[in-house]
Amino acid sequence: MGEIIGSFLNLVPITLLQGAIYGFVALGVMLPFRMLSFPDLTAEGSFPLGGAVAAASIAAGLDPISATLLALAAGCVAGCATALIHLGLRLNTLLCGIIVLTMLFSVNIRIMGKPNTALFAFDDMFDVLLGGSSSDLTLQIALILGLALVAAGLLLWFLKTETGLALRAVGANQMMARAQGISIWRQTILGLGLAGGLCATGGAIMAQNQSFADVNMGFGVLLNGLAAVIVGETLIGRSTLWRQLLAPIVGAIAYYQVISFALALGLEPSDLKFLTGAFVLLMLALPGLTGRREVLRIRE
Amino acid sequence: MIDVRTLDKTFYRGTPSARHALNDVSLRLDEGDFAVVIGGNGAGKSTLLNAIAGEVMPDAGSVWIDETDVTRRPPHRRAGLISRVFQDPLAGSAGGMTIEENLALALARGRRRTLGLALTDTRRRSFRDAVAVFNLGLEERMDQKVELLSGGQRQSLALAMALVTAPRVLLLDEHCAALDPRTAATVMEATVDAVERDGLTTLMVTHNMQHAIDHGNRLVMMMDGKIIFEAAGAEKRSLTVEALIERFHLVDDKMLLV
Repeated sequence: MGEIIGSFLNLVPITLLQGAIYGFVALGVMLPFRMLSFPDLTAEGSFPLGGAVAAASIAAGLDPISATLLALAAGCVAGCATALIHLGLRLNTLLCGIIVLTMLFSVNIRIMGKPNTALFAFDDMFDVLLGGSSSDLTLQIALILGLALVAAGLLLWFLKTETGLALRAVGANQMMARAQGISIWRQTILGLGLAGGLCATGGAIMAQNQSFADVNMGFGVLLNGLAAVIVGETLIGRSTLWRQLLAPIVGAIAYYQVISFALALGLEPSDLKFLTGAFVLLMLALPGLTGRREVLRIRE
Repeated sequence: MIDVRTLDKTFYRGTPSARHALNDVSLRLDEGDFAVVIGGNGAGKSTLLNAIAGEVMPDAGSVWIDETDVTRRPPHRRAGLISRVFQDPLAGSAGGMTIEENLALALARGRRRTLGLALTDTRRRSFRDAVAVFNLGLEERMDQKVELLSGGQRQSLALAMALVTAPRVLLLDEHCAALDPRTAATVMEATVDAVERDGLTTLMVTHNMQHAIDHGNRLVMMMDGKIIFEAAGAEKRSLTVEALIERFHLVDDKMLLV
């Protein structure tokens, strides 16, 4: 038992950092699901896209901050692509996400020119922002958590603007949104673009943190994000907008603590996908079994 | 003001379940007209309203508002001219958003939405006044989510949202039909007050014969996708429920006119 606790405690700092990085992804997963009632799978492709763009551009000599912003922009484009396919062809939202994330696999290899890119030889955003203490894990955690909270704060402000209100109205009631003069197209593109940017930013930070990007780094990231959102909402609720926006970050951190506990118990990392899936399934099934309202509302 | 010219619409065209919902319908409302549309189920009342709002694209004919042809404009691009209250109290507002947020949504109807905060103190105050007229205590619950409200409260909010921008045209789609009689009376009274106060050009669809007799300066009766009877001015004022029932029992005894 002591050994388990010991190895769990050893993992805490690194999982805190991971949780903070995945906070971006969880925000990017929450936004379409909760604000647009649009179950968007693009995260699975935009996360490695962010990693690929950041890694390739850093390796090509771009400074890490610009590289991260470039990754953000690429993620926005990927999100917009999913939105446009859904709006233009009236395809099922899930199918649009699958098409884009599959196509992004090839795109990501093209961007890097190979399936992965190592960054050990280059300065990354941690070196730039933290200088000499860039390997200090505590500072890394503070930096990334701070950035995630800033992102959530900006999103909170945005969702309270006239445009943000319109975006939320589209998720709540499309007919009413149209009657209020709101363009479903514009708001869906905007929302998925933002979400793609958040996921790609997560990927860019992850690539720089682990000093390499890999085309497979996105596998399972959507479900992790969704699990994080559900954990966060269970912990702090979503009765107000700021809770809804804090929940993904809190959830991502809590979720990775649970993951690290599972690892400390002796589970293989490869078991975690099954566990995450089972957990999400359970959380989705519970409200139905106990007669409460559904966890995820989905539009057509 | 509103000019509906020879509108035609068939749903499920070319299939066995084809339904001719609008059959060469023309209707012109002048500024300040309050027209009440009655008719049985499937008469084409809602299709007419939806065609004016842009939710239904007609097969033929055109819709003009303020001398502008809006026939090809999608609903959100004519929303600046039109305010709408739906029959379903849940349909007119966003349940997960607060009362004041819903009113803020409506306030930006028809203009470009900015990146400024939607709720300012000035707006909050004017929104409180806008819902206080219903005497439902909504003004004390401005920051509560709309999904917590009763049907009558939500429909009152929908009406307040429709009126918050002084629309060119007000479309009411049986907006009191889903309410209990007392709430229906309150909402109807607030509607008539606003229409008279602002001289709004209004098209109201109803099943309620008494409402059709009591309100508006124009009466339009539809059946099988056609306008079969119109009355205005003195003729409209002299109508009674009994006279209408007697007259239209002769046309079709299936017509539900309660």
